[in-house]
Amino acid sequence: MATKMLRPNVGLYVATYDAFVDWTAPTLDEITDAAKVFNISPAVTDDYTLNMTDSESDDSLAIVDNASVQTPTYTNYEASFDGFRDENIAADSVYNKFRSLFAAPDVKYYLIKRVGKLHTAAFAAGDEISVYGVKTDFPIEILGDGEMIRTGARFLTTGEVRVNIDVAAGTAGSGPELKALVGTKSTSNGKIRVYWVPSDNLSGTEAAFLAAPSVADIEATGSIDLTGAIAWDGYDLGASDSNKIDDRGILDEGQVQTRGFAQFSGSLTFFRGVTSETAGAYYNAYEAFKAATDGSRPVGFLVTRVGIPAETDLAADQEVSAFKFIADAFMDNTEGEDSVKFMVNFAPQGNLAVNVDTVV
Amino acid sequence: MALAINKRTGKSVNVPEHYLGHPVLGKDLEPAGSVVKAAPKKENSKKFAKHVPDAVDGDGDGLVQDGTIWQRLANTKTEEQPAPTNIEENEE
Repeated sequence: MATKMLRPNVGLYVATYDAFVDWTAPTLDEITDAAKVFNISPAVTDDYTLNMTDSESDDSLAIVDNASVQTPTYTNYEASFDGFRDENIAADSVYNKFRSLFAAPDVKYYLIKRVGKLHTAAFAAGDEISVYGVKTDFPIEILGDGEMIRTGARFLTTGEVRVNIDVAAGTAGSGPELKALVGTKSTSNGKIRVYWVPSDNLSGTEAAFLAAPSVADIEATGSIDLTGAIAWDGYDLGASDSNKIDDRGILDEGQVQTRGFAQFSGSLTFFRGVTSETAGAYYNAYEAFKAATDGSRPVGFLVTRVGIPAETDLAADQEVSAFKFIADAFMDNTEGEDSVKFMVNFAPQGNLAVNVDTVV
Repeated sequence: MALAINKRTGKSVNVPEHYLGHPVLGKDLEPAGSVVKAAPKKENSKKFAKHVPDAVDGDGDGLVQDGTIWQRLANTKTEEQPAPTNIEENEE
């Protein structure tokens, strides 16, 4: 009798760009090299994407054809992982390994999927695996009210794809590396801080600030800690997938993409304080952005710190992201039974830094 | 909208007028008018010009030694007062 395979017989692994002599024919000693191949399976959420998609096709007809024709040309595939963020950012865990692997853009990897065995099962010659070549895009922070913080690893394809190929014979090593500690999931609530740093408040250049955001500039008078005034409703701030530009060479048989312009967006909903208030987070946020039509249009950086309890003071060596915006539309939100709020849309200004360490 | 200067960073910025005087948003801001220095007064170069008795109207505008303290009509004759030959005569 045929027996259906049930969950969770799947494993996801990441190999460095130099892990294989021939990526189309990985050997057992290569795929079990603990220094170059990593098991990230416990960190990846269930809605990951790592599969071929429909190939591009050609619809040329011969004169004898009596129906439509679609002949596949080059192969397509797509990859995208969301990984849980560890509550302890210093832990030697799978969650933190996932985050560190995909923290920076333009790093080449081979993503490997094995279906049919538990992710912890040792590799053996003859195991069938699928290999997908990728380059990293800017990671995105996935946040939500009552949701876990996740790191969205986004990828560009390199055209290198082989599915269901056998692992060639070799001597098994100790890999793929799997951290003993999985990690502790971290909730979004209470783990975000957002600052507004006007451009004129930077003591150095914008490039210097993006490379290493200065705590002094972020906390200087004139910059505002917006955190206490922001409502979850309508929260939208951060990087999204970069433009993916088709960029094949004549040798490429699969979809090859180059990273185009980075994309990011910002839209925040703030609580409105009572009119008698002349200080505090609500008042400051309103005062900062209320003059949307006088032509001044505040320009600055929205700086986010994610994954660290909000009450923790900003200090050096904390990971933050900074996005340059110009404050745009101001919209009152007085409907419904909830409190009065206002929304500010921020228009991106072409500069961002993702996951960079602060300096004093 | 007002032009202001951030006293901490020295950068100028356009801000809503209510920022000026705001305890947080405007603490380091100063209206640009109160801190911008007047342009330095230019030295008058005319006093350094040398008189040329037989100056030529090169640009044909009817003037010679244009823009100097010696500027005059092209046909005007000027003569330098000759230095006294006997200084003792002038000492009286």
